[in-house]
Amino acid sequence: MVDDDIRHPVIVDTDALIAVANTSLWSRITATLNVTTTNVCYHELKRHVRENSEYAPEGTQERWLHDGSKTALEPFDDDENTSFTAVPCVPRPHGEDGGETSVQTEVHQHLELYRFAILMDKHGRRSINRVFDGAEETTGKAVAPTFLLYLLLDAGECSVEEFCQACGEMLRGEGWTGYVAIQAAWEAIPVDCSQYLSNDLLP
Amino acid sequence: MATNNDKIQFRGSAEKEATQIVDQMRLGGINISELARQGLQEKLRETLSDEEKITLHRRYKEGELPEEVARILLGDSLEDIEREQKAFEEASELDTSGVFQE
Repeated sequence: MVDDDIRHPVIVDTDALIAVANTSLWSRITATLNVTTTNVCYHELKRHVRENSEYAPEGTQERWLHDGSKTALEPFDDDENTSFTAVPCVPRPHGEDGGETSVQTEVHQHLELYRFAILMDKHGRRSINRVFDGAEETTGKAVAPTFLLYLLLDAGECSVEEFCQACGEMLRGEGWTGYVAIQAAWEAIPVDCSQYLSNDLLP
Repeated sequence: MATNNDKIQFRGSAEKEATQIVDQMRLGGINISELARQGLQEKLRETLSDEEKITLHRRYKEGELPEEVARILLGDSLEDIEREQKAFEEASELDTSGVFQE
């Protein structure tokens, strides 16, 4: 694990990493963006790989967690890669939502260094946004994982079609939670996905 | 199938007895209709699957579902989407230096 304390402006939690790692744009993300996570999230990914079987049937939550976590770990495990870093969170939180809590703590402690906090859970985002909003001037924003896909689109690193497909993949994997995130993205940046996605998925 | 003229009724003698007992215990009694209304909302939301929620939200967006009904079924999610949208818009205005690999 790269434990070199490099803090990029984008910090991502466990569930958000899994969500984007399960889309076909993940390799583009690892080649384009600088991403930081916490050591707690890193270990959560490791635990998901260990505790969920790689032989679980395709399409199950277990398989989704295993494959997504395994894929998400690769760039962090690459010692040559300084674009994907894991930073130690002190004190280290425990329990179910330890990863998410660690991102909140980390943002709190290094508020000026982070601009985009990407979390899957809406409560986590709300809590970080309170911290950002309470700062002297708006330094950053907590947003849903679709924002990582948007960054690619905005930088011209993926096409509208690829963006829409990846949103569709996330939607299928994350159900209602993903739908809320994707719906918000579609409304915030009016992208027409009607050519690329089946009707039941569209905004 | 339920129509607009249907009263919401159910047979439940044990439930009725249970509510009467609680009603008698309390000085001011309890508002059974209000409780039933809240309970029904809560249970309706609980029974919805992710796919059903997605379908309902899409119908609401297309104007096929009145907002009042959408709020009963989807609760805070409607505000969540609006809040998310605002956060997303604000985030897309922020400086992206350091975000992309050199």
